[in-house]
Amino acid sequence: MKVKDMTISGIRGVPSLQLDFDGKNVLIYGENGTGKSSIIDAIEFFFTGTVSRFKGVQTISFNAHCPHVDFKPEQMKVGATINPGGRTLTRSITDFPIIPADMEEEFSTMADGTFILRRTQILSFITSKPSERYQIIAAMLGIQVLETVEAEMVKVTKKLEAEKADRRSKMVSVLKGIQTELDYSVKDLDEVIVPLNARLSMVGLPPLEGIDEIDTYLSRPVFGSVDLSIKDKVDRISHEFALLPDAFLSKDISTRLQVIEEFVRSHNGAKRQVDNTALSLFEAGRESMMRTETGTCPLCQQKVDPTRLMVDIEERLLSLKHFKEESDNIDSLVLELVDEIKVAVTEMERAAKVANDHLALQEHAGRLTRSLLSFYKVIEELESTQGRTDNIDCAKFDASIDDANAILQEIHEFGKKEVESIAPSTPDNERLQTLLLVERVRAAKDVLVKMESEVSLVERKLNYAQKIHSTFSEVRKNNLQELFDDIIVDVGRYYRTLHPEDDIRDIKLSIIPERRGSAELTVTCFAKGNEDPRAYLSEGHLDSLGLCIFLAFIKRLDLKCPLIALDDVVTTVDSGHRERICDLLYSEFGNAQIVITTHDGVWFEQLLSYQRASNVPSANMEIIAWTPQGGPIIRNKKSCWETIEDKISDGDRCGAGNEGRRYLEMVLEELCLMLKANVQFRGGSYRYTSGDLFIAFRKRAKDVIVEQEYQDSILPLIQKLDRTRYMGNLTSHNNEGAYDVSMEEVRSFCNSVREIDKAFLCPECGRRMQYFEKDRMITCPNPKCTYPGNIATR
Amino acid sequence: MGVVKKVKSEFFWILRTEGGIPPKDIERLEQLMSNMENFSDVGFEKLLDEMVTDES
Repeated sequence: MKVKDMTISGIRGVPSLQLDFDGKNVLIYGENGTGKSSIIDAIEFFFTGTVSRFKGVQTISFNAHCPHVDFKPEQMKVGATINPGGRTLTRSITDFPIIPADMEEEFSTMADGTFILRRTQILSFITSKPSERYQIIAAMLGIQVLETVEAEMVKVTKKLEAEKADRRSKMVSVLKGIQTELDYSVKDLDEVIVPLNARLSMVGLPPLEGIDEIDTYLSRPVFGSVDLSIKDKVDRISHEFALLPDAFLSKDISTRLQVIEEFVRSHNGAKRQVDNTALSLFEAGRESMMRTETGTCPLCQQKVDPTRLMVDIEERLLSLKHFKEESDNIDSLVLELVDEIKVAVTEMERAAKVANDHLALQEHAGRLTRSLLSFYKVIEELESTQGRTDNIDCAKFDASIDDANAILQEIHEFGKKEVESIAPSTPDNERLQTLLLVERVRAAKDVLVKMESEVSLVERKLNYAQKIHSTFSEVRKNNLQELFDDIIVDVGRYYRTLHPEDDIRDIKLSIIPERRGSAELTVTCFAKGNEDPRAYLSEGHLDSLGLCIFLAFIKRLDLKCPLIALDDVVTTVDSGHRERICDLLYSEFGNAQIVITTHDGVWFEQLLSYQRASNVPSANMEIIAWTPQGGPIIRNKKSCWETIEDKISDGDRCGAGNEGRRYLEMVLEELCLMLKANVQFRGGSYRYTSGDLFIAFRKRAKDVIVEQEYQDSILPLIQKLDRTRYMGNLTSHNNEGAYDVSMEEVRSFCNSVREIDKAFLCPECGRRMQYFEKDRMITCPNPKCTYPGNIATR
Repeated sequence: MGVVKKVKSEFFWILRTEGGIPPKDIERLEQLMSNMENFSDVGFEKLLDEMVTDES
């Protein structure tokens, strides 16, 4: 399956763009911020329906930030024509492409977006925690479901373990209760027998032979005078009498009645409530007097002395208020008394009922009933006369209270004697208490047996769950480790291809046995085993390692992954190693359609050169400009030399010179690297000029090339370049001197660069030749080359 | 064979050969795991309940 062309609408920095891949590999070159990654986002959106780099970041979201600024999410659309068959599929947020049946497997492999590698992903894979790394790997291999299943199994196992622990803890608590009763430390039910038999023996009762006998022990006819039901009887009677009060009422009641009577008498009998009206009347009169200030009484219209009248009114008001307060207090007192007497009446009625249940107390019941009459009368009097006590004979009521309390005492006495008469003797009581203890142990045993059965059920479930889970977990781990081991063989092979000279071996990706869902990445480096790769590898080497791991996983997906996208991933890798990356990519993944974006011109030229040399079909593009509203402007990317030729034929001297300078820098950088030239060190951030590189290259070439034939052919080319290379600077940077330069001079400069470039390309495959110190040879690094054009060296 | 398929196949093979779980329960588990995406704690617990109920 190959993508023939792609139409992108409204994604990131691309409002509208038509890309013609022609089913080939794709190289997209462009400066930073010109929309390269947006094209990769569009490819990801087409295959997956989302863009992974917007996931898991709190401050950005797919819907808000993936559409182009002038587009809404629902306007985002990517269409692609897919070969074979030239079928056109379109993806938007609402429309999913209907995948042709013969492409289902390939689309399904790509559905989680793992065919795309961005530079940030490489480092995040290496620097992530083992659990996060495992998630990335699981997503790539589509094995998350194994993790999900195991997580559910663990959930159930843990739940059952908790249930078992909970029931066990409840059993311990019941056992502790028995322990407290027996005052003896016991670990299980069987251990209860010893202390329990000791207690039985102390009171002369036969022992239990085993804990199971406890169920029938109490029904034995051997306990003689010990009647187990006696305790209930004693308890019932004790309880019945204990619920009765010690006294129904105190004499304090009649004292309070006398207070009421005294108050009523001193205020002339029944006129208490009148005074609310009088109070209102006097208050109204006072207000009227204050308002009118006339000498006329507002009540009788007689002439009066207003001052004196006001004094009189105030005095009367004060007196009425005082009377009202006292009257209110008496009302409260009356209510309290009524409540208390009613409670006493209820208690007396209950006591009469209790007395009535016992033959010996029936006379007491009659006396109490008679006494009650005077209580009822007092309540009636107090309620009907609203506090008037004229008709209450306090002395008589006092006597009734005394009488009722005395009857109550006699009832209590009777209760005490009754309990004493039926309670067992001390030895019997001790036996009774011991048998009751046996009964409680029996009840606890029942609870424990029930719980034991529940625990056994939970344990059986737990055993099954543990067996299923441990088997599944082991199989999963073993298979994944096997898979990792397989993959890591490829990782190691790829890494050695890229860095044959490195002392990095034994790259390991391991499942951590005691942790679910984790993958540890280690390397053996400088004879130090199992180290975090970050410990010894440079950033460029880490990038290489990440790329190797990614490619190994892609390889694992066999041919089901028809497209691989690398978004600016080798920026930190030097050009010598990039050459090997080209080799790795196009030789190992020749069946896939590889889309590579880069902002690095040298890497782009290397890829072009490799493609030409190895006949790799490719659609190459350059983003020459980008605007927010217009998006990227793309043209087919030509090699440096093709661009120079175009500019020369257009008569563009400065343009050709400028391209020539770039071409020179690229060629010199490659040559210094491949011939292992000693470029003078200028510090980390220094950008080496073509002058720095040329001096180092010239010295190296002169030093190592020994064959006369090559000395005769190459050294003059270097001299020619030395004579013309100033032209690169002259025609760049808007230099005024460039006006005096002729096209012929520019052409001569560019040709001299081209000649040096070609002098060190393999005559057979076109790849850059390389210095091999061991063989004392400058030759083609391509092992497949049969005529590499060796240049003997010192 | 895909990893998921291989894990599943080996897992059931081990359960069958090692013993400890009645064959009909293995079949039930196999049915439960036929669609692994839908495997849940609730379904697994229900299966365990059925296993111990049948046992007694």
